[in-house]
Order: sequence, then structure tokens, then C-alpha cells
Amino acid sequence: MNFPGSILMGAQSQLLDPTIPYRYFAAALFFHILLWALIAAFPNHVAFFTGGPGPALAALHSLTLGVLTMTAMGVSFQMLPVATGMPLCGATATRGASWFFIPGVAILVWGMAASDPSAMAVGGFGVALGLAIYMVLVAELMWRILQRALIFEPLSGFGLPALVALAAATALGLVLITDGDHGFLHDRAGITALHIITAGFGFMGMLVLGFSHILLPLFTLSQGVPVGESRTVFALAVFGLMAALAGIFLGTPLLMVAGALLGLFSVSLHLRSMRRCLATAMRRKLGVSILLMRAGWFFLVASLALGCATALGLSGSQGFAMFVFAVLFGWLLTFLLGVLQRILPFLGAMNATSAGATPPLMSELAPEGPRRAHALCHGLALILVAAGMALEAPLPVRLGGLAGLLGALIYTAFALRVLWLIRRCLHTAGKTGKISETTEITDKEKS
Amino acid sequence: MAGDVPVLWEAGAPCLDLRDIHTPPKPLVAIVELLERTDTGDTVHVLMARDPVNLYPELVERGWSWTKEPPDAVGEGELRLTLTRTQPPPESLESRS
Repeated sequence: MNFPGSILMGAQSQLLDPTIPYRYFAAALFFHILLWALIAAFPNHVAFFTGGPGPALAALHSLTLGVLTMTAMGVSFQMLPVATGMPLCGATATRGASWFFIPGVAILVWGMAASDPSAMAVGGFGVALGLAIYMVLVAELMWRILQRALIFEPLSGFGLPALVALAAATALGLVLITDGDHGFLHDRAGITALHIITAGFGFMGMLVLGFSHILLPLFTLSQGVPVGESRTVFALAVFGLMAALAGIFLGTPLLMVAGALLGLFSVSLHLRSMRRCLATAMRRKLGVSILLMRAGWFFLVASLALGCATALGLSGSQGFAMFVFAVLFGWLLTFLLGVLQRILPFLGAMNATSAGATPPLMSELAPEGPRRAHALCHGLALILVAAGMALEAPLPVRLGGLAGLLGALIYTAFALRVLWLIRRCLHTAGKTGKISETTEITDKEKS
Repeated sequence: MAGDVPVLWEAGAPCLDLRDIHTPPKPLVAIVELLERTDTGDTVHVLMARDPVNLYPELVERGWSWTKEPPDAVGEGELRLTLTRTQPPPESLESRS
């Protein structure tokens, strides 16, 4: 393709080198297996978890940093330029972020599992550095989107506050790591709660809401969410988040409840928009992926209700742990896995067509059987681990961990198969010299 | 109309001018909606402001190929695609996952 990049933004500038997003996805697959393995291997630590370093905290961060944030980085780097038509300002920096972030998470998780403060400090520093690069790159792109948009635009509207929350969550995380060594915090539990809410609802929550308003219509082929609705969901979510954070900071349960209620209003509007997208979609048969997404939405509502109950002291001794489990495993992980079941084959096909190859059909890339098996194992894992935590019983936690581990292995096999099929089709196209039936008329051919 | 976009006609084939539509997923939805219609012929022209990398997998799924016109055939900062049906019209999108 001979289009001057300065004139027309071509595929090359929109799509990064596939090794960049795929390194994040590959790392996420590893940490997905690791988190369930840790739960299966150390059920006592999970069933009676009250905070502090150990295998349970390691499993938790294997999920939050290793799976959720890792995937968010890969998807942001890959999909933001595609969805907006604007390239990231530094492709090399996206590699740089992975050099710090991926080993940083590994060292941090190992440090948490082994209760090793030095490893936690080194890992935490690497994670913070990787995230700082990510935040600068994405914030710069979102700032450009914001300047181009004349009206509220969901990607930057939700994305910029999400990045602010990520910066806050990272700083709080580093404070907690440092405090582990020195014990200078007067209210460690409060800082921990702020860290969880800014990371779970502030960063991941806002990012999921904003991306859903663009990516869900993109994948289901439906009209996007109207700007007015998007703006209302955003405003309620931000006010809810700020009220909840203020409530935690000031130790005022009523403010926390007000935050959760505003969050519930925001979510109910968001779900109404998503329901309309699905109802008007040209692609209706989404298979088990949509089931996982719906389950994620259920847990989102449940987590806010649990948050209310916990703030009012009505949820018992395990209430806060159950709330965290509902947010991170029930909502974010379940929803993400549902989205990824669709997004991975789509990204693979997009990379293949942009390289001039004809990819396999989506039905071949993403067969329903493994996706169903994975969803079944994941659902079983959620139920068993939640029951084990609620009853403070290690056996269901171990069984849930094993079910989750099996699901994670099935999911990994599914993802690696997608990658292998795409590599094979690229290899075949290159080998035969006949790239695809598609032609691109060049100036030379024309003359 | 395809999506919210008026369908123009050019040399007997439908043509979508999406150069001023930047909000995702509107351009993609408009093109796919036009391709899915039973009365759409075997050729469709599309004018865009950038390379629609997320469109190509959808074209492959639906049995369409694409040709990119050379830069001197279109204005600066524009891309002109000619989409050609390579397979008979599918039964419906509902039958595909």
C-alpha cells in the first residue's frame, strides 16, 4: 500500500505491531491461570482473608494487575487508534510500558505471595513505571479526541477520569507497600478501601463504561449510545464515585451509601442503553459471550448493593471480602472474559486483513464449544469460591479454584488456537505470494 | 439511507460518503447495513477519511472483497473503496454467530 501516511491514516498507523497488544494478552493469560492456581492451592488464605500479604493478596493482584489492567492496556493500545482513527504518539513507548509493567506485576505478585517486602517494593515500582507510561500515552490520545469532539465523547469523557483514578490507585498502592515496611499509616484499612474503590470503580469501572458505549455497538453492529444518555451515565458515575470516596475518607457511612445509590442509578441507565444496543443489533447471535457479559452486569448491580450493606454494617464479618469478590471476580473478570471471547478473534482477523491475508471465518476462529466449557467452569468457580468465602469454608474455595483453573486452561487453549490460526493464515499468504482475493491497486499496476 | 447516512448512486452502484462521519461505530454500521440489504447489488462504493481496518473482517465474513483506489484518484486525505460481492448473498446474518 502506497498511501502517504501524512495524507491518509492507513492500517499501519492505526494498528500497532501485533506483538505489542499480544504480549499484554499473553501475560494476562498467564496471570489468569496463576490466580486460580493460587486460590486452589491456598484455600485457607482465601476463605479467612482479612488483608495483608500472602497468597490471597497475590491472587487478588494477579487478577487486578495481571489480568484486568494488563488486558486494558493491550485493548487500549490496539483499539483506541482503530476506533478513533488517531494513532498513539509513541509506538516504542507502548513496548517500554510492557518492559516495566509485565515483570513488575510478576515480581509484585511473587513478593505478595512470599510476604517479601523488598520484592513488593521492586515490583510495585516497576508496575508504577509501566502504568505511568500507559497513562501518558493514552491521556495524550484522549486529549486529542476531546479537542476534536464538539460534544461529549464517551472514550475521552470516561477515559480521562479513569486515568486520574488509576494514578490515584497506583499512588495509594505504593503507599500501602511502603507502610508494610514502616507502619506509618494511622488508618491502613481506610487507605486500603480507597485503593480498592479508585482501582475497581474509578479506573476499571469508568473504562468499562466508556469502552462499552463504543465497543459493544462496534461488535454487535448497532447504533451507538446517544450522547445525552452517555453524559448522564458519566455524571452519575463520577458523583457516585466521589461521594463514596469522600465517605470512606471521612468515615461517613451515609456518604458511602449515597455513592453506591448514585452508582446504581448510573448503572441502571447504562444497562438500559446496553439493552437497547443489543435489541437493535444487526449481529444478534453472540453465543455464550453475551451470557458472560450479562452475568458481569448482574454482579455489578449486586456489588453496589453489597457495598451499601457493607457501609451500613449489615453484611456480616465477610461482607467487605464478598463485596471485593463481587466487584473484581463477579463483575470485572466475568464481563472482561465475555468481551475477550469476541475481541480476540476479531483483533486477529483485523491484523490478518490489514496484512493482506484472508482470515478464517469467525465461526472457525471462535468455536462455541470451548467458549461454553470455559464459561461453565468460570460460573462454577464463582459460585463455589463465593460460597466458601461466605461460609468461611476452605473446601468449596479449593473446588472453585480448581474449576476456575480448568476454565482458565480451556480459555488459554482457545486464545492460543486463535493466534495459531492467524499466524498460519499470514504464513500461507506470504508463502504463496497470493495474499488474498482482495486487491489493492497501486500506481504501478494502474499505469 | 443506511444507518443515518444517505445512499448515493454512482454508475449504477450505491455509494456511501462517510468522509465526515468520525463517530464510531456509525461508518461501520452504515456499510454493513447496506451490504446486508437484499436489494444491494454486487458492487458498492465507499468514500472514507481513513482506512477502515475494522471493516475488513466483516467483509470477509459476508463474502465481499475490496479494492482501494490509488491516491491520485481521490482527494487528499480520502480513501475510496470499491466493494465487490464474491459469494452469493448469505441467508441472513442471524444464521452466523
